[in-house]
Amino acid sequence: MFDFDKTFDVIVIGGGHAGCEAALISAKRGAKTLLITQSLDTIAQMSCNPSIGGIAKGQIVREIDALGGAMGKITDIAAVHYHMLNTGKGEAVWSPRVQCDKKIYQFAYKNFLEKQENLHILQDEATQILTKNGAVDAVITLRQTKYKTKAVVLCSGTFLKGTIHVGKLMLGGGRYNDNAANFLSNSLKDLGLKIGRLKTGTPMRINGKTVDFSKFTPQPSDNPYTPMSVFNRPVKKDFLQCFIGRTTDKTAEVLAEHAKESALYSGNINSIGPRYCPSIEDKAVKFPQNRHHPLFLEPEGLHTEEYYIQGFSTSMPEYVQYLLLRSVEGLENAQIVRPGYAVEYDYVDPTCLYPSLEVKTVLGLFFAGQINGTTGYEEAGGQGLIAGLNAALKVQGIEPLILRRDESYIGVLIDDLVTKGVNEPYRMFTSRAEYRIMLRTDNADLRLTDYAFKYGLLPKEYAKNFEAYKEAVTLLETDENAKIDEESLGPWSLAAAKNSAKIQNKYKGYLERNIKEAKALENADKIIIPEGFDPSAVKGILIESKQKLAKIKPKTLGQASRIPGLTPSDLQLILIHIEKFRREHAK
Amino acid sequence: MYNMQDTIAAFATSNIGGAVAVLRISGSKTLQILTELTHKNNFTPRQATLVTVYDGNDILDKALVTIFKTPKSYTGEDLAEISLHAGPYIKSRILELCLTSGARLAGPGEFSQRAFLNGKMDLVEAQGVLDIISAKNKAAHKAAVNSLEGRLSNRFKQIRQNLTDILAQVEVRIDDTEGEMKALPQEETKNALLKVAKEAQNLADTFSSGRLVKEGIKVALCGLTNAGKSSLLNKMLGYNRAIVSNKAGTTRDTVEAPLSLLGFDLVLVDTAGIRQTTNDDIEIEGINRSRQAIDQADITIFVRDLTLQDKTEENKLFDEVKQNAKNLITVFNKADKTDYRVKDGIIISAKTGEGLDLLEKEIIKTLNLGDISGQEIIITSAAHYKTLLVAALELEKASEKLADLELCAEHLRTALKELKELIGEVTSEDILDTIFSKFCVGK
Repeated sequence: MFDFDKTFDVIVIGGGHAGCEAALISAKRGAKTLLITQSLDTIAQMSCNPSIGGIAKGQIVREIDALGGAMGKITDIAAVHYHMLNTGKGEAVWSPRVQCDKKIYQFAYKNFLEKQENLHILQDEATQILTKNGAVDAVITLRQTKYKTKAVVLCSGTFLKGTIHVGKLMLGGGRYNDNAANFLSNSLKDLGLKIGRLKTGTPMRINGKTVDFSKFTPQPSDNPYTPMSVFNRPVKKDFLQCFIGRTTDKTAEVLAEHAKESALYSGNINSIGPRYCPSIEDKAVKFPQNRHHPLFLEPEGLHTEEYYIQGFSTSMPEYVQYLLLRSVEGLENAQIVRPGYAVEYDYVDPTCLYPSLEVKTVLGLFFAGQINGTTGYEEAGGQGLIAGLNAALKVQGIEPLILRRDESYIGVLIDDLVTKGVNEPYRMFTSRAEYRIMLRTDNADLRLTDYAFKYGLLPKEYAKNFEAYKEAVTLLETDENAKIDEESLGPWSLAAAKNSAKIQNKYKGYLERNIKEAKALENADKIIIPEGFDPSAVKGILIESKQKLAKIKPKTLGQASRIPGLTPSDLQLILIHIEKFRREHAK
Repeated sequence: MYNMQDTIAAFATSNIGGAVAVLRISGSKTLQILTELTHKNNFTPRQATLVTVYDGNDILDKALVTIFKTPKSYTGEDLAEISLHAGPYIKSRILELCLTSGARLAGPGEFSQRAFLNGKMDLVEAQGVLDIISAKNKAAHKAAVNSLEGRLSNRFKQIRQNLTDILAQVEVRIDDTEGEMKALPQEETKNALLKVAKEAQNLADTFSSGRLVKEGIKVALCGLTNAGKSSLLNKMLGYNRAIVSNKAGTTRDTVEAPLSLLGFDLVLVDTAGIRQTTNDDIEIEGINRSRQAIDQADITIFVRDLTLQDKTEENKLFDEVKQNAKNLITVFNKADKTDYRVKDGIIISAKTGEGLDLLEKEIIKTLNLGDISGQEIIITSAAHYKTLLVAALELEKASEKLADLELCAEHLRTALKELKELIGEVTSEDILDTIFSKFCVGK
């Protein structure tokens, strides 16, 4: 065993979308950070489709950007196709989606990390987390090096005991051809954590040279386009096209005939996959009356002919995947370059976490991304940023950042995870946000950027500009022709201010109602459940509520109020007992 | 979760008996509400003032008002006490007016809770509050479980189902970024929304028009003095405390409360005073008063004594009562004292509580058979009344916003939130479940 001679503040395990945001933000916050990843060549790899954003997810990317995170900026570097979704509907549900060149995305991210001060990137595999007196102490790697640390952010993605399924074939791996991490979950189990299994899948990739695109409807990029990051301005780009097609009756026949050969129905996979990303065989079984499912061909990059077929996720044997392709007009001669597959992996029940994403029972251990039962790059990135920031803050002796449900999708995401747990891979939807009208694409910075300045995640010299920007929006709300000096806004644009002002006015009455409701929630969230006070021991609350309180260990009365099934009287009793506790301890 | 910033209102006096009812309002909007009620705004703190209470421009009542300014009040907040004539109409109407002016009905023990949290009450006093809330908690839970399983809730279940389905139809289209779904069927959705709105409105109407709600269902207890009638009343009231009244604005902190059975608010009326006089005649005055109570009662419970040797007087009184009672239930009390049993009534023990469940069932049965409950569901709580009205309004607004899906959803969600207590919470997970079970969506 080699004892590394330096102690880190924060070690981030895993270099995916959660881990990269976590490492970057932790280092930005000034914590000495180590990122351990199995392979430097797969940093920020888009394991599934080559796109960032989408409905509700696009809002999350904007939030990451507003908080000083990297996902939006990297997306703009790698972008090959922009599309603002839902422009036919109200602005509250507009969402940006950007097709990216996968390789550019990875390399751009890797370079961001390399250039970041306080950040050490290392290619190795974490195999064990050591604790001392209930707190994180060190990480041991496959190459038998011991790295001492004060905090750990675990972002293991689909790699913990990952198993790949293609038909009957089962391979170890977190992604096809990438090794699984087979040791670390045992270490988590030793720490007393409850491990479960989830599943997800991906479609086949094909060679575009073998596709008859004339049979598809092209979807060109928006041009002009809105960049993903508010810190970027539109530039001249080489755009690629996406293509829209459909499955046929023949596809349905193939699926009916070969259903049993899918890993999903052969008994090899028992874990639950995301309902929003069903495999094509799943769709056929659950909705036999729908025979013509949409397919969306997405280019994988500028320097490759590979295409991703959204809508064709499958764990059928390879020969059936060929039969499926041949049933689709325009794909009759398509060559598979990588087959579709399903992957199963370990996750940890996220109710073991505080809203800071710290594990309740292991001080200094934070989780982010798929280990918490979520799915999606954006969901991972949002958690990664919060976990990375809070790990650094913890080491620095500062209270964690807990985003509220009325100020961000990230807040909704984390609150849902830690308060309700998951039954399937959790994907964000706008319907999960009770304050949807407030949580828009256009105002992520207005909602969150103050935090970025508070924690030093954006350059200080921008603070003045941001104040001017906020003022401009307020001015423009009352007078759309108000004179604004665009220079004073810095990286923020006058066009964006005008847009936000217009949207705020449009939703005025609804926003006021939302704000009033959110205020009540905020007040309840301000009532901290004190250290040493056990709400589950309060006399008079229902037995069912006691069990839930004992499991969730809410941090605030507001969080307690969101635990399903707790009654108003339960909360009233807890509130009075908190005051009683406070008075008894004031003596 | 009770919002501590809300202004709350409730009666501080019991529902039963008394000529004067005291309404308490506490919170930052107290004075504003008071001005709306009395058209006056210059009250001197801690000084009772005679005022006219208005319902719009009509006079509702003459009342005595005392205000207390924060922090020098029972709750530590701005507080008003309005003493009104205890007529059932006046009471329910003034509460409605307070709610329309921005107050919310106080939860059980909430005035005292605020007093405690604002440092106006010590730990010992607070214990009493905790006991009340905790008793109400268990009872409310039991009542909720009963009502979810019960026959009364079928209509609510249907409303829940309909609204969940409509919201899922809206949400799935918000998520459908590629235009895969057919547009929302405007006419059909509009009609479906208006149908539920009408339903909510109809339910709300049962509140404002129902005699039962304004006056309560009167249950008279009759019998000879030593029949154990008073113990039965106490036992039932004690039980009442433990099953919570969902009647709006009833006294929250005192030990007395009307009995609530499956959504029906009962008022127990003791006809005490019927006794045997020295010459074995039944007191004339007692009979008269008893007759009056029985005339007004919707149900009369005649309490017989199982241990009584000479039943002549009891039978005489029984015959008298039988002639006048609309719905008569006979109970035989003191089952704990004797093994003697009869078959023409319910055997109970007011002391041990034996048989009270049977009596309760009999009351409910009688209510349904009798002509006093013409409607399947009667809204008996002012809170539910308000909730239904708001929900109806929100659903109408939703029906006008079908072209703006996100706004339509806002109104629908508000309606669902309003109806939460009646139909149960509809979570985002419920909506997603509906979407994924009905539509083939996803990438």
